[in-house]
Amino acid sequence: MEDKKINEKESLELISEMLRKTKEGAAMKQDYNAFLFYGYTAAAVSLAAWLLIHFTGKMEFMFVWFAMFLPYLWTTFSGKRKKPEVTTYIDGMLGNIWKVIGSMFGLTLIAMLLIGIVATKEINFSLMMPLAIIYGGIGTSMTGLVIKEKWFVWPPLIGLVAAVYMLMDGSCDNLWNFLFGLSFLAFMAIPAHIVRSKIR
Amino acid sequence: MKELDPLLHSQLRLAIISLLLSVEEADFNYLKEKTQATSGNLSVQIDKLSEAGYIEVHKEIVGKKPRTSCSLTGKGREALEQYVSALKEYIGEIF
Repeated sequence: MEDKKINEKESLELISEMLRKTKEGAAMKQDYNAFLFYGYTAAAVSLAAWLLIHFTGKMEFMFVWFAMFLPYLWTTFSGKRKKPEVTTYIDGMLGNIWKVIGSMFGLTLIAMLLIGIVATKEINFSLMMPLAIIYGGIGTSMTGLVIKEKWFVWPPLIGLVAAVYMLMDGSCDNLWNFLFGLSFLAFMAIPAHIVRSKIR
Repeated sequence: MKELDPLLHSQLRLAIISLLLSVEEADFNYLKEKTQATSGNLSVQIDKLSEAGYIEVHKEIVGKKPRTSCSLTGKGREALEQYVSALKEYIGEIF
């Protein structure tokens, strides 16, 4: 393409062609890797926690859940090393949705820590499991609504059922690990595979 | 009849503005690939659009490599809207 004058008809055709190119590019570049990454990490960590607690009987192994910060750190640092060629308005909106969800995770952890130190004198992160399912589910559902993809909109309800069970049960036990991993597989990893296969 | 904006009535500059219309930000390589322009020509046209306030150019270092990205400004969006409505008038006159 050169810096040449074009007529009115060519101008309108050029505008339509460029708009079509950006639209096609946006559809092709979505890979939903983050959903697979978080979904499978949650499943792997939940399995590790379940096995460790099952065979040792020590609930202290619940701390393996802090490994869930690893995908967050990885995505943050890899994002700084390599930026995408193009950011659509939808990408920007989704990025902001997940920033809010991420902040909710962080703030909840801080709140639990402060409540434990100041009020109850015992730090208890067990409520983080149902809340994490709810937060992750909200983020996934909102993503689905923005990109108009039902496979991301509805499966988080499976997680919600698990979270409600945990909240009603109240006492954190090894079953929670199993439910947590299963929930993330059901509303993040599996829908991401389905949506990816639809694009290709 | 409205006059066509001379800055936009050029193939490459119009292509750049049109590409930026539906994205929040696009880098130099993306614009080069989509417009099939040479780096030198693309740089010159980006500078002209930036000087007119139609686009914003951001330069940064990402992973030890320089990265130039562009985004459409409000002024640029308005200019394209006016350009398209002027085009429609012209085409309406012809047919």
